[in-house]
Amino acid sequence: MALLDIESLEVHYEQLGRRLEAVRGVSLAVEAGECVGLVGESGAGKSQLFLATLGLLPRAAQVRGRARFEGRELVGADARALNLIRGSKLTMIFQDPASALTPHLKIGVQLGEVLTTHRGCSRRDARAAALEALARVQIPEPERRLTQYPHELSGGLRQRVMIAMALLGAPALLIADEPTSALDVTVQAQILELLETLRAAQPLAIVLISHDLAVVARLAERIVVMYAGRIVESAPTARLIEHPRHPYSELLVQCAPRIEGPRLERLPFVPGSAPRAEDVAPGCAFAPRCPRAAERCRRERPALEPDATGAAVACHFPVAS
Amino acid sequence: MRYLLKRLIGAVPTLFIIVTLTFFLMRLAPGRPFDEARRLPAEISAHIEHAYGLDQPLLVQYAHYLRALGHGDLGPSFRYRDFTVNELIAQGLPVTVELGSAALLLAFALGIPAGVYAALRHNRPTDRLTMLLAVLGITIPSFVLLPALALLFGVELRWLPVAGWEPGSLRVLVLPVIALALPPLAYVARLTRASMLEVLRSSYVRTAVAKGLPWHRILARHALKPALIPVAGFLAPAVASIMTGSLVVESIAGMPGVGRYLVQGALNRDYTLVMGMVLLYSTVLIVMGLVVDLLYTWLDPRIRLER
Amino acid sequence: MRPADWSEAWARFAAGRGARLALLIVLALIALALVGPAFSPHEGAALDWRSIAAAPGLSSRHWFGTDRLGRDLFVRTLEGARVSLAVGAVASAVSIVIGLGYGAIAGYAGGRTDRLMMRFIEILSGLPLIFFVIFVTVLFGRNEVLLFVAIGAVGWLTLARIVRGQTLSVRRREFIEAAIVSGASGARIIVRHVLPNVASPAIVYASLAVPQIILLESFLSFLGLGIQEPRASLGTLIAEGAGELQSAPWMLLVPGTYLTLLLLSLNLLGDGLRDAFDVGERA
Repeated sequence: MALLDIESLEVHYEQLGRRLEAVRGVSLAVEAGECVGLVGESGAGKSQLFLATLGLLPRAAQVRGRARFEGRELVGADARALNLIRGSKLTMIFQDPASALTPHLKIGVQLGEVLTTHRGCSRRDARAAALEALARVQIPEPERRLTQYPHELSGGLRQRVMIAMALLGAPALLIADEPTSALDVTVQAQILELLETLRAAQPLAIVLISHDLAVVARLAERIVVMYAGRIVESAPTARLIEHPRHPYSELLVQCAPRIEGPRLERLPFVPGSAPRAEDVAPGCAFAPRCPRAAERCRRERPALEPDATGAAVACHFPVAS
Repeated sequence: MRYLLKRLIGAVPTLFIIVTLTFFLMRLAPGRPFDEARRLPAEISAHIEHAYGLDQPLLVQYAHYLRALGHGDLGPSFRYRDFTVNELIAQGLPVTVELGSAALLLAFALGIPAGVYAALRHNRPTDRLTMLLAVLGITIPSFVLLPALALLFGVELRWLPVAGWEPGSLRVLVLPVIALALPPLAYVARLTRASMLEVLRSSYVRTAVAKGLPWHRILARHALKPALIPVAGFLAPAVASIMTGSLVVESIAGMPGVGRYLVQGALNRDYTLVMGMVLLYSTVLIVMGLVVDLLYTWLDPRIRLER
Repeated sequence: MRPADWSEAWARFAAGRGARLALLIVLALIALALVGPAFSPHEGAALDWRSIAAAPGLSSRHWFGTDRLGRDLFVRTLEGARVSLAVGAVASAVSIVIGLGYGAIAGYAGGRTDRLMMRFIEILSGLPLIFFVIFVTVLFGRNEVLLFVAIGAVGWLTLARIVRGQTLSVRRREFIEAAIVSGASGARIIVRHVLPNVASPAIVYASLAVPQIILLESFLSFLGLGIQEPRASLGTLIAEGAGELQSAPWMLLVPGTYLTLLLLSLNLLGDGLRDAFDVGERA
């Protein structure tokens, strides 16, 4: 049984009579210990997918479909049931650690409350566990950090604190939503390295969400590409990078900046812009920007077709391997 | 601490300007203070002016004035010949303070929970009802509200006295305090609700939810303090609103507080009394400003450390 | 603001149900005050000895009752409303003129002048200006023109700040430099370039200031420090009514209701305008 099994998840909003679709029927499974990367442009629905899974969307969001974690249904579950899982077995870290940490509470308090809530620890035990967690994410001077406020730490340190906080409950699955996007490039590398190390030390499944293919490719064993609220391709990392089959994936791979390789005259880019949530045109959502688009693409939406190896692509004219 | 001193020192020029402004405005006024009484024979009025020091050159008067103020002496009342302004204020202040602090307490003690509750029931009937009441509370003028309340509870229902003052009696206080507290209460409720809604949408509250924390803990420890920051900022305007409201409320309800003295003084053209009151009120407001600053540092550690 | 922005803002305003209703009510109240008395057989100052302190009722001669002297309350209230509205309009105009002028000058001059002028505003903001208005009315007697000016002088601070900000940003733009170089005078620049840009915040401010000013005037008149006999404003009528609570409560309720309704709809109107013209929203 998969650790997390998302089935036909849909997320939409009704605003002033208009229907905005953020996630349009996504099915995704994450196995224990696996690291899955999720890439796509902003607005593709990557974050919304997992925010919905964890029940973090506002009341205005309408969620349909199923998401089972360790067999337990999450969609529509009440807060109490969700709180048994959130923060302990299933955790999530967010993009901007500066705003994601409560500004007026000390780090020690924010770390400790995870333990007192989920493991019923005493204050002293919680403090010891927090120190240990900070050490695990390689934060220098952990005792001092406990009494500091979030704004007293640098961006990289803050993100490490968030990771430590997410690991305190000994999670089986960690969702990392754009964990490096708000950080400097050098710090980015450090954080990714940290995640690698942590995975090696314990059985931890990770879903790494990013708009940056390079970030995801470094860590993930399998990559899922989303566009306009749907999955357009899913494949093992190496295969996706070498032989992307969906035209959008191909463009993404071409656009990822590389140090090695031939000098380019111009940086490649994907022309046009992603469709907005309220556009519900028939046919393939990528057709307006696709270099390979044909009449059929505009009429008929391609379904996600799995192949023998478990990889899948949703395209009428996939790139030949 | 150093910050507080800096702020205190910064308040001095403001106070100084107020003092000077009131003095010169007063001296510039046309007509003499005793004009409204019956016409006095020239030598008697000259005598009175001499007694009050009005025949000295302007700057000399100013100097005397400043010196007296330095000693906390606000001068004699022009109307109540037997009393100094200080004595009048001392008589009336306890009443007004009692009234005002009860109203202030009520406004925040009821307004904040109301706002939080409305925010938690966002867009549901309870929320809409509360906000409707809040709009009414803010717009109905106190001089309409208090008589209306007195009409309802005092005349029709006979539950409470219509007006009057008995020292030590609580029943007389009920309607005036409610009328005084209602506008700031309504504003506090609205402010708290808006602020709380914004905090609940914030990234850090989302993190707290993702951590699986129980809702009451998120509310109490993560959301409440930041939500109260704008509300704390309203403390000084709330005091100002209550001070102006007390003029009306004390007059209608016949309460012997400094508010009513001010109104009487204004009607009687009792310059020194009015001037003393203006100084008093200004000082109170400036002090409130400092208190609010202190409150801010407690609510948001980022501010504390920046100083 | 470009014409396109105006019509868009207007569309947004018109879409708000509450704001539309508020506008309707305001116009209705104003219309009532202006022409209402003409529909009544009674005159405001006429003393009807047969109906002293009569209760309101459709069957009685005076639909809304009379006061202690037998004056018809309907007419008297509306006449009082005229006074209150007049004060509101004039004082607001004074306030806007001062605010615009002060802000434009500060923003245009820049530098030390600007800083000084802003510092002055800062200090004024901290004062309880109502008390100063009272003080001034005490000193300078019951001069009604002065009343208008004093009330108007209270509220211009916010507008001045906004106008100054706008002026500063406009000042820096290149076409202003060009205009200066080509010899246009400061005043001309202010009028042709700065003022159109500050029109929208000025409107929003005005809509919020008018009810405050009407309230202030009523407040002062209620205490006896504002409008004097024989003229009456809503404030004085309410004061009379408060004195007759036990015997003739309608004397309080008729003008009180009118005033409350007026303030309520003006405030809602102001909220609606603010939502329509600004991008950000309050509560």
